[in-house]
Amino acid sequence: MDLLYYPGCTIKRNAMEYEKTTIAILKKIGINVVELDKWYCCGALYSLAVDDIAKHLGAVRTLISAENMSSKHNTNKLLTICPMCFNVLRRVNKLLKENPDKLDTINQYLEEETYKLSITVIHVVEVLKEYINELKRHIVRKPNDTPISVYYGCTIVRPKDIGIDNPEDPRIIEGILRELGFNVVDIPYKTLCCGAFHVLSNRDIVYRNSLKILESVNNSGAKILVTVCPLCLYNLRLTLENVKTRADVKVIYLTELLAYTMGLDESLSQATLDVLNKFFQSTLDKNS
Amino acid sequence: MEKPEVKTSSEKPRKTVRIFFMGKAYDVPEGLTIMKALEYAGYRFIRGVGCRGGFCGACAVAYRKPGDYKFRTGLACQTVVEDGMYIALLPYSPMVKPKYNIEEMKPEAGYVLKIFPEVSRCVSCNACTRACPQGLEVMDAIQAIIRNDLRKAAELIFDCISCGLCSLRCPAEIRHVYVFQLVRRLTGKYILPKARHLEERIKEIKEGKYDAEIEKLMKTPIDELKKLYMERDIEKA
Repeated sequence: MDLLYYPGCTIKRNAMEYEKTTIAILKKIGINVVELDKWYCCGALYSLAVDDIAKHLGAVRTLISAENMSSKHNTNKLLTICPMCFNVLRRVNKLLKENPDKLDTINQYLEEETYKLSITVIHVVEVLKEYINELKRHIVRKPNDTPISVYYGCTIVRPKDIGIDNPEDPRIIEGILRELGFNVVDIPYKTLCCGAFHVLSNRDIVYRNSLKILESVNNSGAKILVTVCPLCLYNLRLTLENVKTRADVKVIYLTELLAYTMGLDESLSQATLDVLNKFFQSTLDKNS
Repeated sequence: MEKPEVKTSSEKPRKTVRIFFMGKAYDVPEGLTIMKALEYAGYRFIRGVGCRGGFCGACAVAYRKPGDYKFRTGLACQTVVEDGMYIALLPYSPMVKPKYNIEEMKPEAGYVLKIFPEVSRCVSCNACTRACPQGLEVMDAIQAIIRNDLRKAAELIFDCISCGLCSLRCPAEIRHVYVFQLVRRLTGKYILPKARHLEERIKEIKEGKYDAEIEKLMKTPIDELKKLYMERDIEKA
């Protein structure tokens, strides 16, 4: 099965390991990830002004690009992995589906091509949930009882009408991990904002919020924190590096943990492999 | 209104078209380029004109046609006049040229964005691509930079003639001409394979391999040079 794929700029510049492990996992369970021939910066933040539709042009062009490829690959689903891109693309798609006048204005401007509303934007977590049985079948390293926590961040669960799970208390990722046999411990701040773009202008905001998250992870006894957002991961790691804290937590992508469990070592960096080996090798026997 | 015909010494009378330039109407022979037409009308260009062959990018022009809302752009030396055209010459696009030391840079988007932060303001409106007289995918090149694919960007805008029309149309106020110059430089210096044969030839020249030949050539009388030139080997078509 093919799945159309929109990477986004951050994935290509700073989160290559996230993309690599995602593609490896999906390939293993029989999903062929097809990157769009043409795609554009989503805009990173969804513009909230009702008449500011020019800011949505990049997202619309990407949706059109997906539409142009959808019949060839027999799918109308567009996979995203970056939560910011997911958020913007799904909200723009929703806006155009619900507001024919806005779609009309955009299509009149575009001229070269128009959007016909046929695309559905999905996030990789939704795919992983759907194919949980396939994932289970490909486990080669059985999880042990190392406590793991999940951090969602904001943009895959909020706002409510586009989120992939309950915006206040999402459990979709915990569900996947528990199903696979991991020891997941809940943390209260799994949807608290990490500080996001304030990292550019006022790092103290990031340190304050990220520290709250990291210390709650530490208090829960978890050793590994998994996330699905490149910006959250950056901010959490930055806080661990620069702020004095008793929190002793490793922050990695969800897909890195899964790729490790599935034995897809070639998709993982040596540093990540070392971290995961430390926690899992003693009790895991490969090829079991 | 009746349009006059013009007579040239050798040809039969030619039809004219009416164009508008700086608020005045001019009847000019049809089939001329905008540049020739304006010269026919009496203007003499000392700026905003260059090779007259569509390569140098000096003669950017903007125009509209009657009954058409479209803002059109092109090169004055390449665009043929049409009846009712409203024309403005755009001899250059104001841009401040940044200074940088390429030796201290890496072929990464961050270095480009540091000098040209406006690149990340691109909203994919595609006005740049529509304005490009070379038919380049300008917006796609800018987007390739944002995602750190400098090589792709350099390939997409290899044929840029630096006319600046894209920069005049850009709502993000990107200085495409200088952005692309930097991207091509970074790609050439750090990404593309080195031209080994060129290095070898430069070494040969420095070592004096061709000195005697040049010396001989410099001393050859002009008539003999002409003869040699006329009798040179020419590759058969």
